[in-house]
Amino acid sequence: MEEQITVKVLLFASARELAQSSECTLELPRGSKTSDLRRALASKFKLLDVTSLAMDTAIALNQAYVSVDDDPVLSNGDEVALIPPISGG
Amino acid sequence: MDLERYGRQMLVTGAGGQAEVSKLRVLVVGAGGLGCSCLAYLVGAGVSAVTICDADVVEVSNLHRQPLHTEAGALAREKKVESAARALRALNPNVEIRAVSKRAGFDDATADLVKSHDVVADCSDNVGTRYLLNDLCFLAGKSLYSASALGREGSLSTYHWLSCCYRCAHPRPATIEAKRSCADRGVLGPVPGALGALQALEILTRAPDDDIAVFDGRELRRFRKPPKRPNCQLCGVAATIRSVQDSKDSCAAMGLVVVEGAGFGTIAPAPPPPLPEDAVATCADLARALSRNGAVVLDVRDPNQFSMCSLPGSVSVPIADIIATNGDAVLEKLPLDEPNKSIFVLCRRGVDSRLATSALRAHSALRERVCRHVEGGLQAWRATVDPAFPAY
Ligand SMILES: [Zn+2]
Repeated sequence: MEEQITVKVLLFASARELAQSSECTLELPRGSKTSDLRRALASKFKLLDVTSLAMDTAIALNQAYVSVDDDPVLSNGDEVALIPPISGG
Repeated sequence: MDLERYGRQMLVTGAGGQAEVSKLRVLVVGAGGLGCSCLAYLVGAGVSAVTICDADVVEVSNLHRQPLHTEAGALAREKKVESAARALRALNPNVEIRAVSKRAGFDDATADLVKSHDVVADCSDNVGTRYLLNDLCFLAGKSLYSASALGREGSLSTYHWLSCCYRCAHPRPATIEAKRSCADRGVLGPVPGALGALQALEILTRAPDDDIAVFDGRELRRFRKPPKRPNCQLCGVAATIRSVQDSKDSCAAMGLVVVEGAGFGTIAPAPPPPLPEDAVATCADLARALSRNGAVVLDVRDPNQFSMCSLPGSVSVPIADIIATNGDAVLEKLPLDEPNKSIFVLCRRGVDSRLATSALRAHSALRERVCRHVEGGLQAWRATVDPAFPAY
């Protein structure tokens, strides 16, 4: 069994702007959770600050929002979207 | 039923569909990019009535994305609600159009507006209004159709309250996003146009509320909503938000500006750095200093509150003036012939006085003076020193 998993990350709105990228692929140790992914993104993209990512940014796992109370374990091939709320009009 | 006017959409929805649409009374909050688009399609489709709620005036910089408004309106600084109402009456005179030139706020008038409509379209441009309308619609049992747009992106979500609310998905405002609005970040006109049109479509078809759609500039992707949070402050099992005042308190506690004025609905500036110990006084300290005639009391409440009640001999300089002048406003008012007296900065509850004390301690002309914030303000004064001091 592989020790690493690969997940696809989609970035929207200010997350995309700060990362200057709309998608990327991350390798994470097997057993990593969404909180580990947030940390990995913060170290990959300097401008994505880990606290605001962890506190503010909604994430969706395989096209479904994850409740802020949950921290699910990721699987190989998952697609994770970072979706900070947009408030302009 | 006006077959000539509505026939093309009745070919899709049938006479029954049109009958439903013709009963709808919609409150549209915001007459900007989203609002102009959403309103035009709602009114064109022949809803019963729309009420437009917005406090802004038309500006030339709006026109690229707000096609109900005109250059003449911008030059005349016409109210957006009046400009939009005129265009909409010209589009379809059969719809009752009401213009409310007011910002949707944490007040009973806004709560009443929500209650007196069937559905609400959130076309606002700030995060505070999003929480406000979420709360008011849930409390009044009204469906909320929410859209947002910025840059090339936007999102669309509907709340019929069987599934999660906006607070369930976003328990706290996003600090990275909320400080930015169209004014400082720009938006491509068709983006709010597209999202506002989709919002109208969701309203007209009473779409289900199981997902949140995100538009990335090219593609609309739908994400299933998160589950309802059992501990949601609004819709959870032990909800604490039961009124517009509760909503206001909760939003203020999350750091949002909840009072009318510039910056309404945005994240408030970070609190001032904590004061050193020698810059903080209790009411008892103040009472002792006053009895020794060793204190100047600087009252930083607004003039209305100061005129209602104040400590004898206190000097009034409103916090707004202190901040606006970086503290200079205080110099003109202070009795400078008594430089040995400590300055005790006082407000109603000890929040603004902390801010004012930080500003004054940084002021070059006041370096030599002892300047202290009075913890708990006049409320603490009444509670700990003088029970006869009026409560308000
Ligand atoms: Zn909720």
